[in-house]
Amino acid sequence: MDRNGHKKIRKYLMMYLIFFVLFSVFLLALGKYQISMDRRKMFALMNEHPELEAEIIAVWEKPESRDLGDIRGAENEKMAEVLEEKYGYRDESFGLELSWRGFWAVGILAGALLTVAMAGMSSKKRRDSRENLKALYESLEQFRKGEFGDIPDYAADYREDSESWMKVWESLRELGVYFDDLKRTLKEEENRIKALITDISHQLKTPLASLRMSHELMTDRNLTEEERREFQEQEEKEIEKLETLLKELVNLSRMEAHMIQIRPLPASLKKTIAEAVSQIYVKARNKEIEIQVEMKEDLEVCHDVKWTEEAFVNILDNSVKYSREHTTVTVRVKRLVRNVLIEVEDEGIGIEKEELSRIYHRFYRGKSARKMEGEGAGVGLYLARLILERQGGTISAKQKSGEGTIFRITLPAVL
Amino acid sequence: MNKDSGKILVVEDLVKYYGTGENLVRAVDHTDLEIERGKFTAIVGRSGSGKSTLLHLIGGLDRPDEGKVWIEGKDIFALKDERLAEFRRKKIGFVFQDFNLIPSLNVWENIVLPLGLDNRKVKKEDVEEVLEKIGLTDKMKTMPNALSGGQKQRTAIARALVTRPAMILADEPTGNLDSQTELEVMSLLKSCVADMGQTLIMITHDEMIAQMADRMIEIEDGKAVNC
Repeated sequence: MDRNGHKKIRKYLMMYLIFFVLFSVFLLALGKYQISMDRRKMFALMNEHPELEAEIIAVWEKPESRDLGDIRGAENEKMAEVLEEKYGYRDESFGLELSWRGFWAVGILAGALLTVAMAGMSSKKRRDSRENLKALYESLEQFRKGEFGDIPDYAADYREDSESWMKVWESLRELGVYFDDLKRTLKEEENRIKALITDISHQLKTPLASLRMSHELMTDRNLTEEERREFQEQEEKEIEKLETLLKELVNLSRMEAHMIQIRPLPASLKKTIAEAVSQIYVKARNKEIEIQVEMKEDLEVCHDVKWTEEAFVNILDNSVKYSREHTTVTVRVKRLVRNVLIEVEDEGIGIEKEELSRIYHRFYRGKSARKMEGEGAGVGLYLARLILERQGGTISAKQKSGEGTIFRITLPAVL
Repeated sequence: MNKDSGKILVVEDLVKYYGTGENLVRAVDHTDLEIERGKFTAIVGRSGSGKSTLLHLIGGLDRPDEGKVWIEGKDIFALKDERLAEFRRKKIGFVFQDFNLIPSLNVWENIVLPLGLDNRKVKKEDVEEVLEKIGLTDKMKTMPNALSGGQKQRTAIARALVTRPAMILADEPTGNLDSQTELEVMSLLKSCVADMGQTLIMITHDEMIAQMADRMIEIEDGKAVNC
């Protein structure tokens, strides 16, 4: 026991001493009160019956000298019965035979036990508090090491202060979860950028290789003029493809790295759609595909004009690319309550049901898509979804019962 | 008692059987699952495959025969019923197919109901913000029977969002709606959840809805299969 311990013992001894004195004084006062009450009753009796003065005093002063045996016995019981019947007295004072001294001793002992129990409980509480503080400290140390996930559960028992400790624990746990989340997001971002770089370099390799091949073949001296021109055309095509791909990839990586801010502002949706259709118009006409736009009235919709147009172009491009000649692509616009619905319906090759959820994956190309068209990196729909979702929109596709696909796009009408 | 609290939800070897002998239904049969924070997960599968039972177990609405569910690193079935209910109200918002609105309360009262259950103060601005987001500001004094299906479900979504839970569990929320209302409700739900960084787990049989998710999980005979 250190000095602190002695101090505590002194404190509890003091507390006990005070209790001791107070209890004794209380009992003394009680005794005095009892005696004065008895005296008052005695005087009252003596006033009523002055002739019995001596007997009354005798009964009061020396009750032992009277024959108490029979009073206690049957007669006493009878008297008690009479008292109860006549006056409603009830004898409930059992065990009051304890002498003042005995009572005092019991009280003092009880006080001592109570003091000891209090001291014990308080020291246990302090020990619990100390343990909790230690665990708290250890958790904070863990935080500093960058481990946020492992906050021990608070051993809940419902003593005093338990509720406040529980709250501290819950907040700590939530803080840990928050930090852990932050850490994970950073890691995820890093991995995403890494994956993006790998994907991009992979995407660039193939067209570059075929470009190099055309180029090398062209430098062959034994080529006829016609062959040379053919390779030149081929080369030009490859360069064009590479340019398109590069543009797509630049957009994509900018979007992924959050270098592009999508700023939705109220603007005419009709204008954006018209702009997108005009961009795809030549491509459609080459395949004699008709693009129909069904939109009753212009709608003012919150959207980022430039990037939403890009998204529409990508979706329309997809529809035109995977449709056969002499078909129609229809764009329908409907106003919902809080959103605008834009449907793009084609009569193309469609998307297999199993592939539906994969078409928005970066660089994913469907089985039939790969067979049908050489070009395309599988970026368009991915980018479109990214753009739409950043503005609180959605995109989903459905295989039509006949031939073709319906894309359903929603955009919030107001922000 | 922690289990990778970076994941908002970890399900380990979860089992729930109904009936006995020949009538034994293996609703959830030793399923493992991990779901990341802030993601939208769609649970698909044929009817009777145990999707709803799984969702109820994840949400602590029912106790499993075996196995554990951790939410934010907390083993929820280690909690006593009262504590579990408290935890559930704090961390999880539910949206059901049949809306579960209280017919005798108006839209506003239905929405603030979960706040009252925990004696939490109703912050008027918070509720108004949710109402605005979900487009029900002009309907807040309307009784449920005067609402369309879409409005009812939007009320139910607002009710799930108002406590700002970390996780929203939705059981076929658009099952009773036509396809346009369905899209409307879905895009609202999705953008609200994205705004608040919440995790959404949704049961659906609709191919188009499932596509909107970041991840799809198929349930087959009580087991989870990643798609």
